[in-house]
Amino acid sequence: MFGPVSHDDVEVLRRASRRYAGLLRLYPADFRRAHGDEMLEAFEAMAAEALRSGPGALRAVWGRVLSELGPTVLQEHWDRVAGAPGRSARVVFACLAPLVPYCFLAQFAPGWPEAFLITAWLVGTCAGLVASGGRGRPCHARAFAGAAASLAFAFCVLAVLRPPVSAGAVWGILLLSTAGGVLALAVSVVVRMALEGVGSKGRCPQFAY
Amino acid sequence: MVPNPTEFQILLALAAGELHGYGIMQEVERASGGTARLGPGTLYGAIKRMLRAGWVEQTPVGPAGGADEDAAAVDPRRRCNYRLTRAGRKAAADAARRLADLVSAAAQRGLISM
Repeated sequence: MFGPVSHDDVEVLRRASRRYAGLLRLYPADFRRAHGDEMLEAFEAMAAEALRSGPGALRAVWGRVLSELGPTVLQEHWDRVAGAPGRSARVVFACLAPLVPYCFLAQFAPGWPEAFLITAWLVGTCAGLVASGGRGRPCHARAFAGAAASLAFAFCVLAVLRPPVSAGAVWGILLLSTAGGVLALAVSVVVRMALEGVGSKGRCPQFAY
Repeated sequence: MVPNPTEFQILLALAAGELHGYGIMQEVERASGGTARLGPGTLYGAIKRMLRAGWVEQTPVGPAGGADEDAAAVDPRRRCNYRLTRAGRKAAADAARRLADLVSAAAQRGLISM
């Protein structure tokens, strides 16, 4: 810490620090492990100096930090995916996994009830996420949460499109499946953050998203 | 590989000696007359790339003395300072030379006076 001047300042600084520590969770895990502590320390130093300058200065610090947050978070996630071809392949696989059984059933068993298609979507998403994730309960929890989100998405899609989907709509299915897979991955990220937030020791080293 | 403007400013900040993260932010702001202000995300994103490029290296916090030593003792999270490597100094010098050439060209065309 860099010498705040009063007890109130210490409390304000502690709150600001907690909030910024929460925002740091948006960065990829390996980046956070390498630089998270230092980033928090730098933020605390900025905030402490701002508190000494006056009440408006802390808002300016938050303005600076929040304005760079989106671009830098995206940049770090992009670097992470682009810098590891194996991981990129797993992301693509997780996104496209729901497509395979869904397309197969839509094509070759068009008369089957919707429940089968939905089950196929669920199984595909689960398989994709489990295969792309690590081992252990947190990773499986992420996979199932992601699959559930994908399933909810599938329900919405099916409610609008009414299967069986014609063979000519493969590109549409591809697009929707990818969207479902991306949604599943996004939910799995949120679940991971929640699990880490309650002190879980579980990590998914192979696929830290 | 050529440093981008943020990386160049960090290289300049470190040219005078090793600094920790917040020290780099302050030095960049001071050197630019307050026009360039780095946040932690921008700074450490750039540092990550510069470590990878071999332009900077981490050094454990040593007995720097004064307030810095006190801060390191109070806050156990502080782990390292950063300093230029030989490759980083060369990259900074090359970038500075290119900028100097451009400034010289601008002066010859009457855009600025030197």
